[in-house]
Amino acid sequence: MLSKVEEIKASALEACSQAESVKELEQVRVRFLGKKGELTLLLRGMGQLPAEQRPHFGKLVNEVRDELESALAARETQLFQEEETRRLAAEALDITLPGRPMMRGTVHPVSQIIAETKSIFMNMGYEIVEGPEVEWDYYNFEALNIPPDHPARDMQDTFFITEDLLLRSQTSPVQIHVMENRKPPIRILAPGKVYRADSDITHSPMFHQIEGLVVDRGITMADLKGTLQVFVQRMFGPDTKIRLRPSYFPFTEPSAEVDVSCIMCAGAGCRVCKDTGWLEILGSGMVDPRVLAKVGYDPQEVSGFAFGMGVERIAMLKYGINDIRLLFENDVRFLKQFSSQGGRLC
Amino acid sequence: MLVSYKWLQDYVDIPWGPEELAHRLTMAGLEVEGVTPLAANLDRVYVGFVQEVQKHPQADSLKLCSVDVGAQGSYSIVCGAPNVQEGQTVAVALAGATLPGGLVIQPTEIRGVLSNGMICSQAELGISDDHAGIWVLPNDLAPGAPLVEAVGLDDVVLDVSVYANRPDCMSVIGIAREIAALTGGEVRLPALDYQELDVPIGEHTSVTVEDSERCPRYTAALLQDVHIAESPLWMQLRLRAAGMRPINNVVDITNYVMLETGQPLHAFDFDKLAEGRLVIRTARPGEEMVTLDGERRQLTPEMLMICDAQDPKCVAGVMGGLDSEVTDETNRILLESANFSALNIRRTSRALGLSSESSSRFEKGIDASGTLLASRRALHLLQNLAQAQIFAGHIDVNSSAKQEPVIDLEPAEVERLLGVSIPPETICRILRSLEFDVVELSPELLRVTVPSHRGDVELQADLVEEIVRIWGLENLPSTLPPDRSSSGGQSQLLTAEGHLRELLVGAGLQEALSYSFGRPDSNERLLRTEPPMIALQNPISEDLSALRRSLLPGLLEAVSLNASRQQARAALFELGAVYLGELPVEKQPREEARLGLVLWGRRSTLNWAAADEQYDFYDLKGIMELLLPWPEVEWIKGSDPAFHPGRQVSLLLQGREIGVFGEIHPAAARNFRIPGRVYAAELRFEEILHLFKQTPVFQVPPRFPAVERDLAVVVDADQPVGELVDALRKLGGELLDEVTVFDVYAGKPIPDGKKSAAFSLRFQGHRTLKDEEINVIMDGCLAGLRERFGAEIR
Ligand SMILES: [Zn+2]
Repeated sequence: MLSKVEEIKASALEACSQAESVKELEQVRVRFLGKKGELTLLLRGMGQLPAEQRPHFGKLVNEVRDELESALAARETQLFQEEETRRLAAEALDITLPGRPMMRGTVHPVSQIIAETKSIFMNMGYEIVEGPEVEWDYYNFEALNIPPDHPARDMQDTFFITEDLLLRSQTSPVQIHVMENRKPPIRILAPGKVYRADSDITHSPMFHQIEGLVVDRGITMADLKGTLQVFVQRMFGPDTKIRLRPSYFPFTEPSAEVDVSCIMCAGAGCRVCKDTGWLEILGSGMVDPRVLAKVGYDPQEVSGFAFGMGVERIAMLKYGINDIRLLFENDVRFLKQFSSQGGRLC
Repeated sequence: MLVSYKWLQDYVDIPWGPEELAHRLTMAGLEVEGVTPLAANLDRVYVGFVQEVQKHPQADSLKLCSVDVGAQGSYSIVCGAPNVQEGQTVAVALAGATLPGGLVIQPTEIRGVLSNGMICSQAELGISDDHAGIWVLPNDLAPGAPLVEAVGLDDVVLDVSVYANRPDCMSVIGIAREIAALTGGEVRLPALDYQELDVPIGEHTSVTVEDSERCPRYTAALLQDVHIAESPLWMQLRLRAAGMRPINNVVDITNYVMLETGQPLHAFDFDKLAEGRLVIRTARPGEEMVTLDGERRQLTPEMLMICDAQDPKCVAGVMGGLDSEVTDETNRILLESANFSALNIRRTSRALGLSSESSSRFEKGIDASGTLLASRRALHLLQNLAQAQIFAGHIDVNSSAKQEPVIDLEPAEVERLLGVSIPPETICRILRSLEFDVVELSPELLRVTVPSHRGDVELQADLVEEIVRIWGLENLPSTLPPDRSSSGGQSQLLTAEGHLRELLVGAGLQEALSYSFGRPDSNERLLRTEPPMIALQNPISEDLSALRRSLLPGLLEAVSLNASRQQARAALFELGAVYLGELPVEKQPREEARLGLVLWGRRSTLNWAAADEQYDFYDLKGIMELLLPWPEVEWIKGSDPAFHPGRQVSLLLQGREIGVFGEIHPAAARNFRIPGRVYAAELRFEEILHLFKQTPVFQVPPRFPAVERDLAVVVDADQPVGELVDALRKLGGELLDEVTVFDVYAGKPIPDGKKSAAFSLRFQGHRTLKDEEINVIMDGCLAGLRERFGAEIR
């Protein structure tokens, strides 16, 4: 019977290694190790042996069974891996086909510039304030030191609704509303739509401005310069420089035009900056004492600075847009180009 | 203002070249927008002398000229100009010259005769647009001299942008003053001397000023035996450099002196003035006059006129009259140098639609003390260049107040406004260089007298500006304001806008921006009969003439534009105001913040992996559900005429409509030329700000297994499924966690007029649920649906 054991062992290991699938392997297990398996039957027939041989025989059969079981397990692992490898190979996809499209939303470039600017100034403690777009002549002009027939009204071709009501031509009236309703310290930023009767590649009848106003005791023009320095460096990059040039606005005195070093050529001179190395992006100045007096402040006690910028101009410079009217056409091919800018939408 | 660099050098020493000067002026507040050479490169263009003119043998209209070009030799040149004559000094371009128009000069055979150059017109040399004939030069120029140096074309023109508060800089002397302040130099005034006749002016004429408010000062001089001729070349070139056209010596001198001093002058042909006297008055009702440009002007009683004893002869400060202008026959001239109210000139110029170099100066406000100086300067030139005899003295009707305000300036104020301390000596030096008179009362107080030409300076702050612009804004330090102000932040409305923008961009929509004004028939195009839109008085076009009452027209226009540009889809949103007012407009309209959105065309870009489907109502509803997750919002069938009557939802909050969405009515879509179906929404999101602010209340996620059951029923085809869902929510009791519609189907085998709706109900408790209790609930649900909706289990 011992030789029978060896015989079964040999044929079982042979069958195990010959099995070509997990299923076949299971048949091998049943054939040898099942309830009616050859090895099982052999063990059951052990009673026919002389008693002194039984322990030895039993040990031998158990050893063979252990050996066979581990061979089956090894073969099973091997077969499973082979089968999976075949299956994965068969499942290969054409990875060059495009994915299921997810529509990518975009924030309008004007909103992006406003959001970025708001974020920079909110981090400096500014409050964002809005004002009406349909405005009284008084707020748009008179309170800003622009009486009727003032030459400065020529610079702004204003849309009128009635003799006294107009579409604001600048965000500066928000300054007046804020100062009329509050006492210093004031630190506000007012973005919004403004309107002028003009339309060509650099002028749109509607565009956006951002106005800033700081009024407190001891506010100086050096504070204005420092504030705008921080702004342009955060907006256009840490190497951006600013240059103040004397200018004229009816509601600031002294007034200054603010140039930034060209964001295209870093000041070396290019087509965008007309080879000057500078781009004019802001108007600014110290709030005119006549304006402070009009809202009931004492110009001897408080002083302030104000600045304003055109959002479209910055967007056009930043993205190289050559016609302002493209910004308001809403051509989806235009809008979708502005998706790569990260964060800061609100 | 265009000003010649050489002309400036007449009055002030300039240590800088034109480019550097332009930079210095710009940094001091006189922005120079351009620096251009007066003439283009005119190499190989010389002064020539026409020795002989013969007929061209082959062509009657051409002439064969022999031209002496000095050291350059003599040339035979074919010339077609009618005005070429023997004995003329001319400008000759020789072989190798390239003219500004691009013409390269080379020996050329013209109708069988070799021409070795070209006799040029001013237009061909790029000096003016005058191409009536060749440019005839003065005979004192030496043949062979390079033209540019010989006639003074080696000059540069600065285009100076003068701010509205600086009318004193609308003159060469005014700009020279600024330069002197920057260099520390002195301004040299031009020659003012002349000989007078013994007869005083008062014996021949008089001036009556009836309206001294509109005319604070009128200064007149009288001249006779004036020789009308061309003005000298140097004056013509300076006028051209300034953008003015030479006319004759008298007119040119008045223009020249205006450019030089900033004071407009006017010359009347004295013999054309009735009774030889002037009356300065406003126009009488119905009066008319023909201005120099030949236009007949209707005058109104607000307009100031310079009149003779009978009629208006000149629109004061704006433009002269045709019948008293200086002509070749003029012998006696009355020269006006006056000051007019800026306001009147502005209004008159606007009312007549007429502006001139003169009016553009007067309307900014001119120094009334400058009339005599300008008059004397013009008289000097008229005597020297037109041999005029000048009657003694001026008539000077002067009611102008002497304008030399005194301002007490504390150097401490300079520091308070600038944030930097500038020493009093520096302050004094700068102000004096600008011709302010400064007396140091003490180190803490300076008494500053403002010169009459600086009417813009009234307050300490104005002086601070003068100081800092000359001192140099670039020297200003950079500091930050003391940090004792607000904590910043923004309104709930702006925060909500940002939130909506993020959600919609995340949902794949593109943000649009439309004009706040549109077509006045926008309501009608939307089939709406809302109150009319507020109209602009002066729109730039009919299409942009009325303030919007809705964001939908702008968004639908955008869809229309994209459709017309062969785009297959558009998913847009806009955040902005609408303007709700009543007519007639008496107060500011309410500006209501709205969100609009529009879906049109393909749901997504064409793709192999998905069916090519168009947007439908439920795409829009899904977005609206994303935006409005709050149970407080009621969704009911809407009745907005702009939308499809069976495909629209009105959104209510506590009974108030906060928005509407659905498919745009096909007739409205046609009005906007939109092909196919288009879906749109408009939301008054100011009304839901408080919902955005709600803080979510945490609930423990259940740890016990949920039980899911399906239920499919057959109901009438027009039965709103939402009502079944609502009913199931109630019937399911507390254990029912969620009801989902997972299938709606009509067609075989469902009978006609019926549909099947399938729901998935999920039950959840804080314990393990038993099948039996769920069975009881499900039976109740089915019974309920059967009873209320006649539903049959499928
Ligand atoms: Zn550049």
